[in-house]
Amino acid sequence: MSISSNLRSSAIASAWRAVAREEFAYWLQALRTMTAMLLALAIAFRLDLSSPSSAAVTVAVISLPQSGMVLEKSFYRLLATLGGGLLALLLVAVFAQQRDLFIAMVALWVGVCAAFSTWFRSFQSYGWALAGYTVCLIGFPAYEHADRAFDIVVDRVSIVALGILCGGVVNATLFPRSSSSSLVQSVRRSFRDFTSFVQAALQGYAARAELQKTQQQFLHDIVALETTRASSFFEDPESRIRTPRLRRFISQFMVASTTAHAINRLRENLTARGMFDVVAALKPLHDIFQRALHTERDEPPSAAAEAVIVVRQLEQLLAEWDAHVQTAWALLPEPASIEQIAEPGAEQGAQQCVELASGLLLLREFIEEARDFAETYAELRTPRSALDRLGGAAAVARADRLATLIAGLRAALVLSGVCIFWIASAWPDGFSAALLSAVVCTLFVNAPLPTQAVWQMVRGFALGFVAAIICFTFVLPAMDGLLLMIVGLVPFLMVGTYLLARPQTAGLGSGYCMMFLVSLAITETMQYDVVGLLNGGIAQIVGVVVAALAFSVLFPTNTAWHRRRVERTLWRELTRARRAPLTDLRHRFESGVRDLSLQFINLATSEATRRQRVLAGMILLEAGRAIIALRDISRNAELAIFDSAIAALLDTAVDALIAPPEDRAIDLIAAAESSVQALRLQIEGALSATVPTAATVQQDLIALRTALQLLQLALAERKNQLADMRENNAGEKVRHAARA
Amino acid sequence: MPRELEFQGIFFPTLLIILIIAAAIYWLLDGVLARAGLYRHVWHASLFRVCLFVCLFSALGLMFYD
Repeated sequence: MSISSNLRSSAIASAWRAVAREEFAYWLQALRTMTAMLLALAIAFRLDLSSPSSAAVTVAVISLPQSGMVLEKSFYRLLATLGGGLLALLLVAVFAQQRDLFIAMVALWVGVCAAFSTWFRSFQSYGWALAGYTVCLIGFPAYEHADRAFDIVVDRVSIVALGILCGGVVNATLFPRSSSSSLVQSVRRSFRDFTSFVQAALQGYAARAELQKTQQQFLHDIVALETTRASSFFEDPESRIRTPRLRRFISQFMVASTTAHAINRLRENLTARGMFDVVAALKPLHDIFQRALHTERDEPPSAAAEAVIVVRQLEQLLAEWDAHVQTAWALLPEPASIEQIAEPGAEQGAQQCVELASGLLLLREFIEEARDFAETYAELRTPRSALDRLGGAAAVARADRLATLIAGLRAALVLSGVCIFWIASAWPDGFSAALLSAVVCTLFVNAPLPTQAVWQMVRGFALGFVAAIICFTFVLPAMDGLLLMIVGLVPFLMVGTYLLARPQTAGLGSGYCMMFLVSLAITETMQYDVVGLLNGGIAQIVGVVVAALAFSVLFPTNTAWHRRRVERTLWRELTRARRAPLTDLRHRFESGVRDLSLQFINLATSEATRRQRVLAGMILLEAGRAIIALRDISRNAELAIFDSAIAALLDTAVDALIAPPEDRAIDLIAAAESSVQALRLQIEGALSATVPTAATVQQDLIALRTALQLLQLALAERKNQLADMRENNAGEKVRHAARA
Repeated sequence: MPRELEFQGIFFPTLLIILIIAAAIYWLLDGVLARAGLYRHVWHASLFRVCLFVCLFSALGLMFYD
């Protein structure tokens, strides 16, 4: 009894410690944010800026857990504020006499920015959103007081710059959590995960579901790696120097994990067809390869310095490749003489030779990719490296073009609608409503569930509004002077910054902080105008609600139609694999597909569909890999006789895969599959005209045959998936009918 | 050195120019120090870098304003 209770109490204790550590990090971030806010307020008062609370709002907006993220967001915020301010100035100068034209131009700009914001990712997307609504924020007041337009712009830019300066310095120096150390951790973890994934894929003991889970994990990890890399760029000069190598690392991670999948699929296929001899012949090489991926202590390398050992081992394995190949061939029960070939069963023997040659070829490709990957990892240990001269390709972001247009149109329509209402009703606080509608329409374009994100913010607004009224009517009148005012603000800010620091409530917290600070409108000589406070608050809430309604009514996201669009854009990536120029195509394809695939997965509502989409993403990656490999191989002049056959086959395969799943997709895919098989059999015929052995095997034909086989496997997989989905749908319908 | 400069009828503080110059020098210096691996031997690298910038900017400012 005592043992179990001891165990339980230690489990509870460690869980408590984990929670306490997490909470401590949140409170530390809250402390940083609050310090920066108060610092910004104090400096803004000292410099006599017009709205000190806006500086504090900027601090709240850039409050993020890692200092690199803060700096990155700050950079884009400053850039967008400058750009937006200049454009506002230009618009006021050109359309000072033309109210309607001015509003139309602002709405157009906001629409353009919303569209660009959808096109980009993370903080760049935020930058575009901000560039959009800054024009509203500065433009409308500047239009009303055209004579002071320049001062208004300068004031706004100084306030944002002040907020950024305070936020940046405090977040970087006061108990900072740096992005660069988190980047180092993620790089190490990625390579460790990769080695264990390779182990699972080669030995095949991991269940399908588990490999899929790893793949989904990798999708998230790769995005996280890229964002952390981008943040570290702004924080840490050492990461900045390593940028090309880090990009290569991410790209090679993607490429190698797809090849690992292809190897796993090939092994599964061999087992399913009863080619156990081939699997057994490949086994020793798999084992050697796996050992080479580990250090002497039989562990994956824990840091870049240890990766050097792995690189050396892999190099050695490649140097002794021919000997290993001989061993593998020797393990295969060969037909000993010409007579035996004529016997029944020899067919099987020749087929096994072809399969072994394919397996060896793919394995060698994979080992080379793993070697490159490990090399990049090892080279990260020094500030400078020869690898940097090779450069590194940037991550690719893809979006559905129509979705970007819709986001732009929605923002422009909402803003013009609110402005028309503002003018028609002569609403004194219409400005706040227009501004907030523009903010929401541009800021939430990339959220998978924008309506929910907006509602969380609205709840934050309501909470912040109540806090502002309490602070405004009971606390602040009693506080005289800057120091006392700060004391009065701290409890309210503490709540907001804590909410902001917790990822689950970040939306709530940002709404709270924004509303609280904007409503208080702290100035040197406070004007206690409760009616003004209420009117402004109500106008802001109206603006948000209109935008939220637009998200759920005007071309809503995450409807069946939208999901189909994303799915189609995702599969259309295959036409790029088919047509785009071959240089760097592997990287661009992998990066683009993963970006879209993650968008598509995030739109899923149930766990089952999520799994379906992860699987679809994997199939797509494998098909694309095979297509690119085929195009690459067919450049070989000796295979010119197959050129037209390969081209026709690629066209059928791509057309079949991008066909909408509802139609005859299964039939098309089946047709493509059989034509791939026909060509594969033809090549195998050519191969077994001379019984292939280690010496006589024609590498280019084998390469062609391997790529065809992988394409065929991907097609078969997609066909099975579609058939499964159809069956499930039919089952659903039957259940519905039974219930009815 | 005048405290304010005029460009096309817009006045702006000389300190702004000095800030930009200081930022440029800092950018170069920061890269060199990082390549030399100095920041690995500093206890609080980001604090060190902030202070480095403050020193540079103040030194330049004092030079022009004395």
